[in-house]
Amino acid sequence: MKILYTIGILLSGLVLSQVGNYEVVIPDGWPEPVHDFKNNPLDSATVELGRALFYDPVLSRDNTVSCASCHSPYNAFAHTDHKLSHGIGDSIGTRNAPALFNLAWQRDFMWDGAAHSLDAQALGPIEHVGEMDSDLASIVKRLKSDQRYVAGFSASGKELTGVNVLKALSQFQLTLISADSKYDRVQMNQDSFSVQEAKGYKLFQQHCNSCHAEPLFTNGKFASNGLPVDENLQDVGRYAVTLKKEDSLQFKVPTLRNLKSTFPYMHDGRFKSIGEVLKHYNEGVIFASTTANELREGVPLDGRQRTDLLAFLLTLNDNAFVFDQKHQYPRSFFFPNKGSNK
Amino acid sequence: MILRLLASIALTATAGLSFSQSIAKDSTIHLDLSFRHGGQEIALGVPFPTEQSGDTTQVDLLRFYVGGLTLFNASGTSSTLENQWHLIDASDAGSLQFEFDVDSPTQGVRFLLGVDSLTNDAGVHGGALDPTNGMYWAWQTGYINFKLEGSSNVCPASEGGYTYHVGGFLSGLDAAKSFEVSLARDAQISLGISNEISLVFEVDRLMKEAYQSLGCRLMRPSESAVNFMHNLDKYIYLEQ
Repeated sequence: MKILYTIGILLSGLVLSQVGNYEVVIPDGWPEPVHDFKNNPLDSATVELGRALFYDPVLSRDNTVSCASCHSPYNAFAHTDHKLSHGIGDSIGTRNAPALFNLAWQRDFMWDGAAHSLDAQALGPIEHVGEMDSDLASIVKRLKSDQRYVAGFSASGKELTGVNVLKALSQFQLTLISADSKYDRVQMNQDSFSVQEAKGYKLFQQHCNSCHAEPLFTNGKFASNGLPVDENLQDVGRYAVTLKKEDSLQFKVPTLRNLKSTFPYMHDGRFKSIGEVLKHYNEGVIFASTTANELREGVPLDGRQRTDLLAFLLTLNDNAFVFDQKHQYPRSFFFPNKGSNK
Repeated sequence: MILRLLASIALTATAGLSFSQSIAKDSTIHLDLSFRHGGQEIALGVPFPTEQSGDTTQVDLLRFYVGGLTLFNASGTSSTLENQWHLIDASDAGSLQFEFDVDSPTQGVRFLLGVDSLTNDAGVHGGALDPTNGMYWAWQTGYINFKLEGSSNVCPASEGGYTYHVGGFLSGLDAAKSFEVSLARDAQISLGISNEISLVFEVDRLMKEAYQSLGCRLMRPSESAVNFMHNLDKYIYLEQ
């Protein structure tokens, strides 16, 4: 009966639920998730397995790098200390580790959309020589020698196989939902913007909302925002996946939620502050054949307007999500005799 | 055993009269996959001449996905297998043999070479499609339909040999290909009729196609990959 998929109304939001198991609540005013839960119905035991796997360096060749190494809960599951992600043996990657939340509303993953399925996405970092440099078959072998995982998979009613390891990681990540910012409370009439934040909100709706669409603050599409190409990285973005000229220099439009926790910004982490980002849109856009039309004239804002816009953007930070213990390191899984399951 | 004997008698009785195999009711047909050069079975790691002038080649790895493997008869009815997906591996004899229970004469074999776009779109799967089988790309998502690796004069081992990883499922890059291969209407039918049939891949001819259309490397979805898969039907036939 785990495959049952129901939609019901519960208090303040729609609930996607799998009978007797994990419920994913759709916040008020949000669209339906695009993720198909029927292919991998969430259940609590598997979510917890995925949580353990997410924090376990067993996924890397030499047991040094976990998913959380580059996707820290305290950074809204992004990485703030490095422009480019770093992995096994202190190697440096080519992209800025993106934040992980609200993934059920994303169709494509990675900056260039190289992963079309969250259930499959983890293979990318697992096998990348500069990230975890491992392989799924070896990981399964290791996990089968670890009684905690053997018992965990048994409790979930699933075989300990490669595909189920990936699906467990996916299940945990699907529970990372950030929808408790000041902006969200304002939308539910539980709070109100300051005068400056309200001015910033108007500017946002006027200049940013077409790509960073509410309430997810991304339209989920790919766009070129007029950044000059980094000469060392020579990153062509989505083109590398589709081989279509029109996709050259297109990268996934990132959400603007939790910006306080997710600096630096852009696919290559070139901007350390939101101020630098706004400056780029104000005066740094290079308009080329694939650049978003909305940026033909850039985003011309004066200093005061940029300050107002920044004030609004900061209302999208969600500390409740960032510090939510149910997403953090599962101490009780790794150290069952040393305290609570936090 | 008795059933197989009955099937053999029935087949002999209809030899030369029918385009298709004649099988007694509820017979078993044994289908095996065969990889050949010049009519001989290839051995992994052992060089053989290809149709490319002056070339000898060796295959070190040959693996691919087959989906919906089905025997069909003249009236269109068919017999299929319980499992939808099979990983064919030239190094694993067990992966090359199939048994079908049939109740009517068989005309040919139908299958998908590779993993279709809908299955790809749904993410990762278990069984033969489990990503631990090494047939799933990591740098981007999607199954690898067909892997062929080795070396040759054209692509010498000292330069890395040849590597063909053929796949892709996005629009315009869909490299899964449906095949329908019928038994030939020729003398072979009357010479060696049995309830054992072989799906033959002419690897020497296939290699020439690969060199010409792919060079020594193909490791990503591309138009070349799609064309390569679509041309494979020239090198596959069914033999009794």
